[in-house]
Amino acid sequence: METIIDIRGLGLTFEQNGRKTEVLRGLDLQVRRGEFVAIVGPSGVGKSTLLRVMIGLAKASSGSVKLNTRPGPVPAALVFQDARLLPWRKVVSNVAFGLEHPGVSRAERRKRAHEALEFVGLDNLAERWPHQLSGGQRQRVALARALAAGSDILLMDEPFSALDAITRENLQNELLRVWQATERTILFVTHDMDEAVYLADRVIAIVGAPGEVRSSIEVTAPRPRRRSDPELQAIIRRLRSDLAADSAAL
Amino acid sequence: MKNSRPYILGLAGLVAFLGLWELAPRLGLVNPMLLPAPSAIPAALRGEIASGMWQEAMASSIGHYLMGLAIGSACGVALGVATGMFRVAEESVAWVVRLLRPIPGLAWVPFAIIWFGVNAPAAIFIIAMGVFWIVYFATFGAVRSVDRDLLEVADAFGFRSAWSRLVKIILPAAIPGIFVGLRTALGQAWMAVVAAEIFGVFGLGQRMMQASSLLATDIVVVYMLTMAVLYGLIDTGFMRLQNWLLRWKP
Ligand SMILES: Nc1ncnc2c1ncn2[C@@H]1O[C@H](COP(=O)(O)OP(=O)(O)OP(=O)(O)O)[C@@H](O)[C@H]1O
Ligand SMILES: [Mg+2]
Repeated sequence: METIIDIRGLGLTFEQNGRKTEVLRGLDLQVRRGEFVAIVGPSGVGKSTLLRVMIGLAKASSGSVKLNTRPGPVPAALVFQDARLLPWRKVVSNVAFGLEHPGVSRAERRKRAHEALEFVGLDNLAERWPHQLSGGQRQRVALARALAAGSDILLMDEPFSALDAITRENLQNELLRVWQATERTILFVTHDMDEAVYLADRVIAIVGAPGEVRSSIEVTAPRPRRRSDPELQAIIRRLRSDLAADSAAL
Repeated sequence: MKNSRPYILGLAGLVAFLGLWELAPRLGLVNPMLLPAPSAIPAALRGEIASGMWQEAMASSIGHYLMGLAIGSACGVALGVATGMFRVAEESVAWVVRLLRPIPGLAWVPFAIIWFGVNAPAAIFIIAMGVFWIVYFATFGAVRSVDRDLLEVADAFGFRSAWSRLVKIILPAAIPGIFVGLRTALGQAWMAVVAAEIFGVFGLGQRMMQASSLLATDIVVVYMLTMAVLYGLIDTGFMRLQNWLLRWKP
């Protein structure tokens, strides 16, 4: 399979008031087109920063990031942990936000926004204001906004962590359905090991300060998966011990 | 029943006020030349309308008011956005602002008359000066406090030019704050209208001063009440517009 994300030797150092913090060092990551990769790791290790570098919100200090995507305003669409809808726009116009670039007509934008909303099952709420939605609905609109933007790559930064367990499981299944139907490549950051192994083809653990990739484990269990599948549980144990070994070494 | 109480009490208070006002000159407590009874007002109003003075003065005042308000708020919003978005702009004007800001709007009357004569532009200038500062500070504050997370959404979806950040995020997010300033300016500008016209520019204020020099106190009261009612209508209209524009707010 073709490599769509190719990150080599990525290093990033923040400089603030003359004080330097090295967040990432020598990070390598290759992702195949259509692959679902989950990223786990302790808080502050640089997971969000990695996603931000990929869409140019933060600048790498060294190494290279190559995204093999169609040309467009952004190479990848980001879903934030808090939905971050624009409160002054109705749902449908929030979803159309990423399409408001030259060359996309108004009618085309609306059409694609409604399609994306239908995809997440919320087209009936198209004319609502964001404050009239529940937390789970808001997160689905944020997912629709990222889908509508049309990038091949979806970057998701703990998108379900603020939701209750039942809503979270529903949205996980929804995401799997969207992923299988649209053939996107997904990079999914999470703190939740169960979530990582249930969703992903491969789980990456980033550890250390500065952060680097510690382990990369293929999840071969067939889909649809059962959350209680012993194979998944075995991978979780392995991830836990990798992460624990690392914090012991610190 | 409970809901009607404010109306009943308000109406009773108003009737009592008018009753006392009517009785004071009738019982000889005050000289009717100094304070006309309210029952004398409708006749005075009819006289002013018949001569066409009332309509002309009102049209002229509203003209000054709207022009001054438009010019003052346009300049205030423009400078507020510039200094709010760009540190360089803020630093460049900081000392000029500190120097000019404490000058009360009416202190500009001498220059207004020297530059424009006792004409409409003089009144517009004085009104605009007062409005400008209020709207400028409201806009600057509102632009500065725009949620950085929302600006990041614009970044993430490829809107990185200053212009697209302005129209997609900064202006819509700042509008509630700008409107708070505008509403204050609405009242200030109305006072400035009367003040500017008292110096002789044709309008409600000037007509009121003419009447007072002839001791036509009933006509003075006609214009005082006209100002009160006009301001009430303008403020109500503005609140309606604001509620509609900000209907996205929870
Ligand atoms: N703009 C910035 N300037 C300086 N340091 C920063 C900046 N942004 C992030 N950092 C630092 O970089 C490190 C990595 O942050 P990052 O947000 O990527 O962590 P994370 O792995 O996403 O953590 P979490 O799981 O808690 O979200 C942290 O130590 C953080 O304090
Ligand atoms: Mg993070």
